[in-house]
Formats: sequence, C-alpha cells, structure tokens
Amino acid sequence: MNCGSLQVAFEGVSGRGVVAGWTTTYHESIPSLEAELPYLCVLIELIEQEDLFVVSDMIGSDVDSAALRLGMRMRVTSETQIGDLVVPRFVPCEDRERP
Amino acid sequence: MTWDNRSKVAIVGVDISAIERRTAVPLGSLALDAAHKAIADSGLTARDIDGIATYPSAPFAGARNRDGEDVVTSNFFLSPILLDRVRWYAQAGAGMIAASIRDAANALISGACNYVLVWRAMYVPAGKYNELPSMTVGGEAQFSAPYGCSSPPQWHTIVYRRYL
Repeated sequence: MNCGSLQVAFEGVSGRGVVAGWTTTYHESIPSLEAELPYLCVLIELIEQEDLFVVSDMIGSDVDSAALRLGMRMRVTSETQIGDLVVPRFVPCEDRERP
Repeated sequence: MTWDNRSKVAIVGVDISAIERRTAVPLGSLALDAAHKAIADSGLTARDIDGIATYPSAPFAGARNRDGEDVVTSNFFLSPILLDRVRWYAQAGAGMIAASIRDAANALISGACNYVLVWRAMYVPAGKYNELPSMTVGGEAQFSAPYGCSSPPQWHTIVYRRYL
C-alpha cells in the first residue's frame, strides 16, 4: 500500500498497543457518565502502525492515572456492547505477554 | 532544518474585544471592535488591509449559523463598508485559528496580499461548557464521545501530556 492511495478498506487489528496519552475528567459534560466522575480517558497507539490511535477510557478498571506511563503496553480486554455499539477497552499487558 | 520563509512575515498588531457574559451585543460587533483595535495597534488603517482569514466554526454542537450573530465569517468582513481593499481571503474549515494564521502567512509569502486581518469570534451558550446531552453521536465524535472524551480541554490535555 502506498501513502496517499485511495485504495482504503477496513482491516482487523490485534487489539494491542501502547499508552500514548491520558487525561482525568472531573467536569460533567456527558450526563450519562456523571456517576463515573472522575474518569480516565486514554489514547492508545496500536502496534500495527505509527500514529494509529484509538481513544478509550478506563471506566470500570482498577488502573488509576498514577499507574499509567507513556509507552505502557496495553491490550484490548472487553468489548462492552451498548445496543449495536462496540466499545473496546484496554488493560495493561501482563509481563509474560508479548505486546 | 530551517523554514525557508522564516522571519518573512510577522504579527504586527493584536487586540481583543470586550468579553461579556450573556451579552446582547452581536458577535459581529465584538469581532469588529477587536479588528479595529488590532488594526490600530499595528499602526495601519482599515484601508491597508487587503487580506482576511478566519476560522468561524462555533465551538459547540448544534450551533446556528447566522453570520454576525452565531459566527463571523470572512463574508461578514468582506462588506465594502468595513474593508474595501481586500484581494485575498480564506476561511478555514478545520485546525482552529492556527490554520488561519498559517493561511495568512502563506498568502503573505506568496505575495497575494500585504496585510492580513485574522480573527476568531465565538461564544458558548448558557449551560455547561461542551455539554453533550445526547446518547448518540455521529461523525468523528463516535470514536471519542462514548468514552467521555468529548471536549477540547480533554483533547488538548491528552496531547499536552505527550508533549511533556
């Protein structure tokens, strides 16, 4: 595949990546998430390609912001389904796992 | 690597309008106020301005697009009563005001004009900033809003953390 090509299509990915950034949200702007405040949003860079990012959150995880590091290896863990929507979330890779 | 056009353009004047809360003053009037003050700050006059650039998009979903009320587009400033010497203009669709400053710099370097007025006029409605009451979103937001990442402060913070 060449840069700038118009031949684009969906491709599966491994669900593995590294932490590329995060932020803690204290301010309610989405009423349906009010009960989750404060919550962590994370940016994951997938291993398939540089600058290929996925936004996710750490809602329901016991990982807090102090435990996060840039470059920390993550893998997709659960696909929370809301109606027809798939909401992938990530957890840190176990040490024995390869990224 | 040094940019070939380094130091070939400069910001020569800057100013800001009054910032008001729940004002009855139209957005276009505030933008004009800021523009006149910025032009005065530069030592130029409105007749010197031959280029204009803005990023007019409202900073919240569901905004209306009345020119001079909800947004202040290039077209608003193209009125011959305000600026009658404009020979180049641009209106950025993405990239916020930094895109308009980029556009202005490129126009100046190319020789399309001599002095560009760049402005950013916006307001936020009553209520919580960036509130997203809907349970469904489309477009780009579908990849971030479901994770509670729906507002510029969050986007900036994530990038800024990488920078740090």
